[in-house]
Amino acid sequence: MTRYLLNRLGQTILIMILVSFLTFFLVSIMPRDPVYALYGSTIDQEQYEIGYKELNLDKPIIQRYFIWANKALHGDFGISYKYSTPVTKVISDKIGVTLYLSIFSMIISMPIGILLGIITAVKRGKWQDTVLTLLANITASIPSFVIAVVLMWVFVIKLKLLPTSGFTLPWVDFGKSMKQGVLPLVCLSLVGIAGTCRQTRSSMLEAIRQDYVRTARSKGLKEGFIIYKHVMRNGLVPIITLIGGSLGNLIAGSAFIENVFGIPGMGNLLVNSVNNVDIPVMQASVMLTALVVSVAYLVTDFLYVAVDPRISLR
Amino acid sequence: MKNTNFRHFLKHCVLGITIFALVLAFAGCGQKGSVSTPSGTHTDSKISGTGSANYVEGAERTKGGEVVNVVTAFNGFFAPKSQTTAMDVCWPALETLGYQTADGVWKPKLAESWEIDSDKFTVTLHIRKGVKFHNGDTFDAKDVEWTLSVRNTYGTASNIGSPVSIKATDDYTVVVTYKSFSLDYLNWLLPQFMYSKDTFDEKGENWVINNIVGTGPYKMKEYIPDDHLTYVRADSYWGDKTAYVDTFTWRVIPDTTAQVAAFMNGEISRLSAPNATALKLLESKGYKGVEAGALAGMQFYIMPITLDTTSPLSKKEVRQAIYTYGIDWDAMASSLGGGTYYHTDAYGVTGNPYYTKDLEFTNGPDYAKAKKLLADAGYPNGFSTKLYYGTGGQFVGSDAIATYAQAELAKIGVTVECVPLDPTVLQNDYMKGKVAKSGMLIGGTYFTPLQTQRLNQMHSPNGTMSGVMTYSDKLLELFNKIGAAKTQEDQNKALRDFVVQYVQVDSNYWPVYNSRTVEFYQKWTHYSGNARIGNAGFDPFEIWVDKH
Amino acid sequence: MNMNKITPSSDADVLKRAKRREQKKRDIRRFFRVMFSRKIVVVGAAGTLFFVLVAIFAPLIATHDPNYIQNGKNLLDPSAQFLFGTDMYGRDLFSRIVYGTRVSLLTGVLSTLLATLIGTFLGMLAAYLGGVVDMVLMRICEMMRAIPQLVISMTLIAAFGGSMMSMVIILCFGGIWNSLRMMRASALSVMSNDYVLAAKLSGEPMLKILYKHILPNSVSPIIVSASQSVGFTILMESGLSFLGVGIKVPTASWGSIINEARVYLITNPLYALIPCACLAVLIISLNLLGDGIRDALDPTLRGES
Repeated sequence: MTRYLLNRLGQTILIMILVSFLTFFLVSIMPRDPVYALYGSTIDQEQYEIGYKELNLDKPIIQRYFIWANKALHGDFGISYKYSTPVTKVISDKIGVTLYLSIFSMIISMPIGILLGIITAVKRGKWQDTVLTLLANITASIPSFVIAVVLMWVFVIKLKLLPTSGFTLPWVDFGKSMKQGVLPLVCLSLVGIAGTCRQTRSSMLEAIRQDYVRTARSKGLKEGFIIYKHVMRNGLVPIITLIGGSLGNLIAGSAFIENVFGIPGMGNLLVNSVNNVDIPVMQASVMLTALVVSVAYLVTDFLYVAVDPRISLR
Repeated sequence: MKNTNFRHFLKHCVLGITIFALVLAFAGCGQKGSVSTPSGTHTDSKISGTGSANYVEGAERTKGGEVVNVVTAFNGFFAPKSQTTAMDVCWPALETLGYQTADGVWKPKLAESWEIDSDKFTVTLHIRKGVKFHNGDTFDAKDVEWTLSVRNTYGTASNIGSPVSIKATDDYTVVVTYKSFSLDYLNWLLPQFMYSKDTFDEKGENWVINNIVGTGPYKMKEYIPDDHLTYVRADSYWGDKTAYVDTFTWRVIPDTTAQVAAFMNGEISRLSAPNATALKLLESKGYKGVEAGALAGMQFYIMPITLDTTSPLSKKEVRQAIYTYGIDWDAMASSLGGGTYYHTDAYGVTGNPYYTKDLEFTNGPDYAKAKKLLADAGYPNGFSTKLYYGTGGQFVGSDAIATYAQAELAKIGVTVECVPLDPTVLQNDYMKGKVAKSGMLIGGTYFTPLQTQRLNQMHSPNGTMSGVMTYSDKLLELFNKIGAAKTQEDQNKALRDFVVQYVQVDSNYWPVYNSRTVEFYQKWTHYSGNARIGNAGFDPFEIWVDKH
Repeated sequence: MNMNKITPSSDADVLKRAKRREQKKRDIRRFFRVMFSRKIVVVGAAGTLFFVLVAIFAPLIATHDPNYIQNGKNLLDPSAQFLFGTDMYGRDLFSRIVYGTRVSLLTGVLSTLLATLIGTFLGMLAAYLGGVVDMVLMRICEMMRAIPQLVISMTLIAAFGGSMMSMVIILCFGGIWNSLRMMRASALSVMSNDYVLAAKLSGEPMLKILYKHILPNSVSPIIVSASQSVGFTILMESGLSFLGVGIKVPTASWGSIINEARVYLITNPLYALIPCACLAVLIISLNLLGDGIRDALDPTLRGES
């Protein structure tokens, strides 16, 4: 078991290193002049030369990578072109917002989704299943930004019930935070519920089809007992994957919602940094996203092994 | 069994269709079709606008209340190195050396008086005594000297004319020396916002960028990046005037629809109409917009890249054909911006001192004539070319221009491929002497009263955009005349002649549209006619809020 | 046993082959029957077919040139001349949405197709060759899995420009790794079979083994995964266009139309709502169809083994 742990950990570190190199290389071919980006486009040629040297642009790319990696390991990701503040500060300001929204929406969507998934699996073929599955399919298919735009149109513009945008933490101003947070949370949760419901349903069905269930039935055990004892415990293992996957998709998944509702979070930062070619922020954001995803998968794998000893440790 | 399933299915179908129909019905009410007709009255003075639409001369000014403004984002830095944001959002807390009233006269603020020596090329500034920063530091000549000099560290000295030296000769006098004569000395120096040197030395640049410490009647209370910026009244102000408003806040709302909705909900006090639809909507709800004048407006332009002598765009006749007859510029301006954009053939913002009506020479498109001119120039079947446009930052909106221009040029047989490209990349190519790209380039620039400065920085033979064009001898000659002018009238005439050659004759520069600011105010928000003070932002003493 | 395969075909062999062909035909017929027995799949198939037809016959259906700007006629209400009204530049919205179908379907189908082809080939290769090749490919897979596809696509588009071709390539690039992993897992399970081992030993060329023995057993999961990827790819493409990094002007992509229309939501809601509806219906139809294919293939697969 420990060997597996170490193996996976080592893999994750290797992946992070590869990702860092990929990001750096990708970003270096961006069509943006970093000197003008940092100092403004009205500087003269002399100033440009000075800036060029300061940013180490005269050195070969491999050397630049190591300089950047070295600094990054010490926690210095450079200064953002747009905000002129250290990248670490920019990200730390915004990561909290995204975390808050994502975790809140997961707390809402997971239980509801799992419950609905169980219902559809148990009532397979009956009208509850058809309706719920259909709704889940539809909701999961509609792009999240479409849901966001339509909801914004209905509740903000037509009905004028909710404020247009913005974000407040609940301990700063509870009422305002709730009003501003309703629509983004609803959007995030809807997507979460639909996905969770579908996954739960398919894994539960998978479990129901298993031999041991048939055996239990033939033994004459009550259906409810079977569901509880065998199906749920086994069918819920993939839920761990679900949680891991959702955590992993934290930043990218929130990008659209944050974009529509003007929420200053990580997703929006990532998108804007690519659009504005804010190179230091872009590098750091991509690295952070990769880190979050990798850690999420790592934790999921461990939980998997811990929960179900049948899963082979390759 | 099958029947009941099908019935259920049918039920759900009906439900779904009903919902869909309801949605469409919702969408149906609230439709406002609009045919935008090319409009646009050109503003004619430097600083115009009569403040809020409900301003009553001599009305009583109540103390208290909050003014909430909105921005799409905080651009630029709150730092002395490039004061781009200061004029937009820092004027409650930061002050300038002087300010300009509507008739163009400079009035003192942090600088009590000044003298200009035209022979020695110096400006002597006399600094006001008894002023303190919000954190208690004394304001004196060393702060002025530092704020002005620090631009050299960041390469932005050209914004104040690249002075040769800046010296504080005593605690309350600063002498600035330039290398040559210019009519812009005051235009350069007086609108500069003053920062505290002691604070910078003590706290460092990163702190200064995110915390505003100034001498103004308001001090910064809170700044959350990408969310809001708040000021409260500072009781230790040096002047004896009353500041009425309790709090100034800027909220960040990046989405323009959200901005308009927020204004109509009463969440914000004042809004610059972000687009034509917003303008029409607000007016239809009874709000009256106020033209804020085009003093520091924005002009989008297209520059044909003419360095490649084999490209059709290097021929003057081709360029003239495209600009004069090939594109419906008025329709483009009104389509992209409705009542907030207008087309002008003049370089810079209409209303600049050298502007006269005969600078406008395009009369609407004549596609047949354009095609004929192209054929005469040797391109009867048109040609292919590229159109480069920037994305993000100040170039937002360039893609709309590119789309429109591409569709228009297709009508005269010119096939345009739109290529997103950061203009600074192009700029750098030329400065490094790399091979020229050929095609066209969309740019945007802010114009200020510093018309010659913008010219020098960008379009002079040594400017940043010089690398995309070939200057005719006549153009060079006219350009030099601008720098040689000794009086404002001479300069205006020289500018006029240059612009005619630049846009009409050589067709090296194609203005696309200028943006005009139309502002809306809530009934309880009052900005008097003297509230706007040129490049120094607003005068906080001319703003007040009714109890509501 | 293998030696027998080289002998010329006897009558018994011919009969066996004919029987297999009959079985295959029956399987295919059963597959379609099972699939279309559920009403919901029929709906999905109908929806997909509708959009496919619109895409194919776009030039006949569209009333105007989608990129032609009618000067001064922007943001008009729906009328007889402009069925859905006009957009912010003055272009006919109906024609743009019709042609937008092409963009969505083309990018979705092409990139999924390419990704599946390349991914399955590489997956089989990784499983078959093992060793260094396998390790390298798997590491790349994990690397790509660690960065969300949205991020990779955005940076690649920013670097390489957003023409339709580059969009297809970039989306394909993002989707290869999923098929690769799936194919590899499936191939590995087949590889342990005796006849594959024997084929290897008897010196059959690698490609032949891959395509004759390994591939046919994995067809079902591939088809299922591919049919579900198409919807996802279309979603990704429209999402990128919505954020402003997608296919560049002036091509009409539904996502970019929605992005343009966002600003005008108050006064011209249909401008945004119609492409939203089209996008939703297309992806829903594709996913319903994909689910139907998956459910129909499942029992068939189990029946065979």
